[in-house]
Parts: sequence; C-alpha cells; structure tokens
Amino acid sequence: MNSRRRFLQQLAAFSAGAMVIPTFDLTAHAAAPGSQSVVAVARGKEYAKLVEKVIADLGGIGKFVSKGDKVVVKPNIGWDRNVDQAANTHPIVVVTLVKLALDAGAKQVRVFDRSCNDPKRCYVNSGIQKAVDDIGDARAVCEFIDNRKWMPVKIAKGKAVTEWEFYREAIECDCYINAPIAKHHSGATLTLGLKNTMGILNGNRGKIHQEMGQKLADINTVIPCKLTVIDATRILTAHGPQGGNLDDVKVLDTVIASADPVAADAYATTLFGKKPDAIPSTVAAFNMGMGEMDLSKVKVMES
Amino acid sequence: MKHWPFVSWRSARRVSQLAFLVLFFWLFRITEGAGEGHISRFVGAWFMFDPLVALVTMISSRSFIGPVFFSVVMVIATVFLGRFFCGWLCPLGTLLDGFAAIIRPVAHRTRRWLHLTSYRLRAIKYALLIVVVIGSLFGLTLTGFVDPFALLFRGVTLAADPAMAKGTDAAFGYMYHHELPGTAVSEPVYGFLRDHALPFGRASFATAGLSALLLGAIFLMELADRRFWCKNLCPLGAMYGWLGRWSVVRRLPVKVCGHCGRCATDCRMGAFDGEGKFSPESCNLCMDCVADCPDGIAGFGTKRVKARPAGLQPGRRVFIGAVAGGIMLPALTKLSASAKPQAAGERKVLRPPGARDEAEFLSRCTRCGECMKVCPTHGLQPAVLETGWVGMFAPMLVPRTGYCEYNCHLCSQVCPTEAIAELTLEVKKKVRIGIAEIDRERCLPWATNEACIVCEEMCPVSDKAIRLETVMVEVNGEKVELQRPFVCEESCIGCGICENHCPLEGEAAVRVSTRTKPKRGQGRGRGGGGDGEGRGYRGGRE
Repeated sequence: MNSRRRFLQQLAAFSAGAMVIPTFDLTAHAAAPGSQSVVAVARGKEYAKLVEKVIADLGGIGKFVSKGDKVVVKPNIGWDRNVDQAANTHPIVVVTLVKLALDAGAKQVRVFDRSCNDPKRCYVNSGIQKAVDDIGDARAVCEFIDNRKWMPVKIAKGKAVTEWEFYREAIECDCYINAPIAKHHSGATLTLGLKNTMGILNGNRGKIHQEMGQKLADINTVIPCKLTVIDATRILTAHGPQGGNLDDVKVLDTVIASADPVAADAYATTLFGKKPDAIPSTVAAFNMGMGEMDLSKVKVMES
Repeated sequence: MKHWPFVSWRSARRVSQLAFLVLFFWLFRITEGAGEGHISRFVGAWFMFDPLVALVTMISSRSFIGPVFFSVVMVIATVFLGRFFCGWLCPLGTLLDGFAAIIRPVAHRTRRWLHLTSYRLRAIKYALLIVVVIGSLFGLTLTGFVDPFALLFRGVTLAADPAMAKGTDAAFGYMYHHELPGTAVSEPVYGFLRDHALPFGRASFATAGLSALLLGAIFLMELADRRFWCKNLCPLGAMYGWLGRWSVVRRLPVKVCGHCGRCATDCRMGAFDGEGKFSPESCNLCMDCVADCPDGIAGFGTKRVKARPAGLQPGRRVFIGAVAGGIMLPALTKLSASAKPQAAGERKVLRPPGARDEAEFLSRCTRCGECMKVCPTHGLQPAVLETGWVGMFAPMLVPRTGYCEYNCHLCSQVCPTEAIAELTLEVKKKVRIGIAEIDRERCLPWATNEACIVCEEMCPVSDKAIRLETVMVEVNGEKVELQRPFVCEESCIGCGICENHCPLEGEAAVRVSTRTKPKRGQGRGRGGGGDGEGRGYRGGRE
C-alpha cells in the first residue's frame, strides 16, 4: 500500500535523527470506499465466546492480523477501578483479543494504556495485568508506558489539532486493535472507540477537551486502527468516565465489533438510548470520511 | 579472641557492612506501591531502630511512639558492645568507607592541607546532640537536619534516585530513538532495570538540590579526615559513643603499646587521643587494629584492666555552650514570621491524610522522607520555608505536582513515628485534606465560555464533589450549551486530582485550599443548588 510505504520511509528518515516529523495518512484503512460497513454484535454471558463470534462475523481474525505482525490491543486501563465498576475494559475481552491475535501468528502482542490514575493500581485493579500475564505466552505482554517512547506526529488532516505526541509502539505496529469500554462521559456525552485513542497521547490531554469532537476525530486519522471492539458487557450509565458507584453500572452482556470505527461508535451509542449524532466525535469523524454513522446504511450482524 | 574459626573479625565486619548496605537499598527499593493497598511499616526499619529518632520525637511530642521502640534493642546492644553500629551496620558509614577508598590518592594531600584532624573536633557531635535534645524539650524536632538516616534516605529519595533513573532513561532512550546497533541487547537490559532496579515513577522533588548538597557535604568531608562525619558531627554516633563507654566488650591494650603505633595512626575513627590512650566513645569496632597488629597484641574482649581508657569528649564549656544554643533555637523560632498563630485547626499547607494536628505532626515527623518515597504520584513534597525553617523537609501535599490517589493509604502505613497516623482505606477516603475552590477568573467555562470539565471528570468521589451546571451562552453569535463546574464542598476531600489535571498552563483554575470546614449558606451557582445531579440548573453567575 502506498501510504504504508511512505510511512516506513518517513519513519526511517525520522529514526536516522533527521528530525523529520513524520506525517501519517492512514485514513484509507478503515473501509475501502464503496463497500458497506459491517458491525457485528453478540450478546451472551460467555464473554470470550462473544468476542470470538463478532470477529468471526467480520471475516475472522486473519482479515486483521497477518502472520508475523506486531499487534497492539489497546484497552481502557485508565482508572483505578475494579472489573465490576465498569471503568476499564473487561479483562476477558482483552485476553480473548490477545489470544486471537496470537493464534493468527502475531509476532508480538502488546497491551498498554496511559492511565489517568496511578498506573500500577489501574493495571492491577482492572484485572487486565494479571489476565494477560496468565496467558503465559512470551509474545503477549501487558506493559506500562515507557516514557522514552513518545514521538511527535503531524496530523495532516487535523482541523482542530495538527500535531501531538503519540506512543511509538502504537503508531508503528502492524495492526492496532482498539478495545474500549462504552461509558457515559460528562464532557463527551459518551466515551467509546474514538475517545479511547486518547490513551496513546502524551502531554496535557486536558487540552483535547476544547473542541473535543473534532479533536478526537483528528487524532484518530493517524493510527493504524484496523479493528474496533467495543466492550459493552457492562456499561457505565452515569458519573463517567470513572464512576465508582455500582448503581451507575448496567450489565448488558454485549460486545460490538467493526472495522469501521464510526459505525462501531454509532451502534454503541444506541445502547444508551441516544442517537449516533448526539456524540460530537462521531459526527466530526463521519464528516471527515472516516466511516458511516447512519445505521440504516450499515450491515448489522446480530447474534 | 582474635579469630573466628575460618574468618577474621575484620572480614566478618566487612561482610556485615555489605549485608546491611544491601538491606538498606533493598528496603529503599521496596518502599513503593505495588498496585495494591498494603505495605509493611518495616520498610522504614532503619528509623524504627534509631534511638536518636526515638528520643527526640518522643520528648518533642510528649507521647509514647510504639514503632520506634525497637531502638531499645540498639541501645542495649551498644551498652554491651560499644559503638559497633557505626562500624558494622551503618549504611552511611559503609558508603563513606567506600568513598574513602576511591579518594585515597588525593585524600592524603587534602587532609594535610585542610588541617581538620584535631581530636578536639570530636566534641562537636556532642554539642549537636545536646542542641537537638534540648530542642526536643521545646517541641522542636531537628532530626531532619542531623540524623544520618534522615539525611541519607532523603538525599537518595529526593535527589540521587531520580537522577539515576532519569540518567538511565536518557542513555537507553538515546539508543532506542536513534536505533543504534545493540538495541536488541540494550532494550531487554533496560526492561530488566525498569522492573528491578529503577523506581517506578519519575519524580521531581523540592529541595532535591539542598538534600543532595547536605548528603554530598558529608561525603566531601572525607577529604578533611577519614570518617569526619562519624567522628565529629553525627549526633547518633555521639549517642552511641556515650552509651558505649561502659561497654562490656573492650579493646586491649588501653594505651598504644609503643612498638609501631600503627593502631593509632591507621585508626579510621581516630580513637586514640593525644596521649595515645584508647577512646571507647570513638571506636566503632572495625577490627582494623586487631588485624594489622604485627605483634598480635591488640584484641577485643571482656577482660578488665586497671588502666582507664580516655574519657568522654565534650568538656564543661562545650556542654554549657550547647545547652545555651539549644535553648536559643526555640526562642529564635518565636521571632520569625512563620510563628504567627494560625486560626485554630487551620494549617498553612496541605498535609497527607492522617497527619495529626500541626504541632503534634511537626514534633513527631522526623523528616525521614519515607512517605515521600512511597507516594505513588509524588504529590508529597518536602516543605521548604512555607511553614518556617522548623517545618523544613516535613511532607506537604502539592496537588499540582501529584494528587492524593483515592484508593491509596500507603503513607500512613510507612511513617515510622505515626506523625501520619495509620488509617484504614475506608477511613482515609473520608478524611478531608482540604477543599477545592474554583477560580472563576481563570476557569475556561466561567472566564471565556470555552468547554472544559476535566476537573469533574477526574473527581474520584462517587457522587462527585465537582458538579456541573448547564447554561446557555453565546459563542460566535450562536447560542450553545455550556457546562460550568462548581464544588460541592460537603463531598470534597481535597485530594487535588482536579488541580492536578486542570489543563491551564501555570496555576490551575481549581485549587485545593487548606480549609477543612465547608462554607455555610452557599449561594446560587455553588454547591447545594439545583437538583441532586447539579444539572439543568440555569442560575449562571451570581
């Protein structure tokens, strides 16, 4: 692919110390123009099976992960909250994605997030650290952010933000799987897939909160995101994004997946009784051609 | 009794020094959260076994402090063995010995040139000890300035460790970013160091430079004389020396035998006075003189002889001078501006949750730095002059640097003197450190009608101590909905995560004040107005 070759060339130039800030243009990834977006939804109590089902419905993990790929599974590990409190992605969802990637022949699967609370507490309390370690495969690691690995990236298509520091492992991987949890969010209305990308941003993320919808769309134009899997096994309906009160948690036993990040967010929005256009980031991303937000134009495969 | 069956006493001493040095750094390294709630108070064992800390803090606070009572073990052992701690256990002493070996080529010249090897200097440490003890009678805890462990632990925590970590990051980071050959090896090495040798976070501490200077000065003093600090300045050494002068185990002969005189000239503690008489209050039982005695005369044992060893150093004039100095210090404190009385129950700075009332807190706090080391966000910072010089190095919460993590109560578990009283997590979550206040002149939604609710997002209290009111404002000719934050003071615990994450450059628009009593009669637009969620209320500004 042309954009990928240019990406690698620019990366080589940057790494040679040439202080060239690479400009990535990977918006072509989401869905080939003209083809219909597919959103797979599964409901049930066995969460690992739900994840496997939705991936299978989208054509199987082989469509996203090739043999020898460096894969990043990017869950939400942002908060010092336990599994029941629905602030972080469910560990079973994360682990199932990691295992699928390993089975597809991935060379390496990395799991990380730049937490808002103390990282050690978040990784432990969310259950994700232990769950990934328990897989017992040396290729799969749940690791803390390494502060040496930030790199400035120019966002060529950015309207509200044109440059930011991103985590190099996320930018350079072959397959980035976005694995957010669906939650209420006072500022964004809901935090779904597009917002989850904030976890690979360095610096003062509070600044993203001004013109947030457009900025979230902008930052998502530069990541090699092939797949969005939204954890709606239990959702946070109020006092998000960190919650804390179990009264705000609603168990839905649902998992959503799509190669189209806009369609995934649009569908997840309906679980909260809202319309897709209620979320500013969904609208902004749609307007930039990053995907389809009209669910009537999307093929929804429910099981 | 010169040799153990296979090893000399000197070798045993060296092994002991190394073992306890490793213990010190191992305890240092594990004084860190592991992502879970509990940590043993024994990570601060060096302070719990420190009789100077025990004496000063208990007198100063007029209370019995359980954890430091372990120091009685050291007192009893010293009365029996003499000042063995300084030679066999003290990590600072071991580091000084190591440093002395490194500077040996230049040390000969600097020591001759500086001329600070007089036996009379030994008196200074007694003067310091007396000043510190008298200060404690007046409620002043001065251990932070002179206790060897406070100086060592703080120097390492605030300066040496962060510097080492950042230096390692920079070196391995350079290799990583420039993709130098060898990253296949250096990356795993860095990973190993990260997991086992480096601290978890990258902290920047106030007084890092000053603490480094104080600790560095102790090392530089080796240029003036071997173990200069230990011989002449260390008040803990003075205490051990004074306790050890009746020791059951003693060195013989009591006076230099006159054959070669090596024991006196080579003694690292200078434990022979001007007349060649052995001085038990200086000797740290390093066993060098035993190992090096060519005639095999020197030894340590319980045998008693008629000849008396050299007496204690201070002398009447030094004693009186020290007492006077000790009394003057508290008097001087009353003169300074920081001695102005506070409103009852109010503090000048934010203290860790669990910190006792200010006077008791400052009298118990040894300024050791344990709480600062363990705080996962590095929000606990040493005070400089915010509470006057008497409060220097005691911990204060600086939310802009680090907030108090909601589910964490580590600091209250490690404080060796319970200046921060131990709290269960349930209790800690309800302790009010302070109350957040929103500065409407700076806060974006209030001042410029720009959207921002990061503070509300970050508030960890489940019913949210920062709530939002929705108003209609005009932006670029359009009417838009805007959310404005306000503090619900009854719910706020002052953790400071709001202040920490406020996206403004410079000072945050929401800051934690030291108030702990919520304001009464809060008007429209502030906490308590509107429905339970604080939403849909259209009061706007007052």
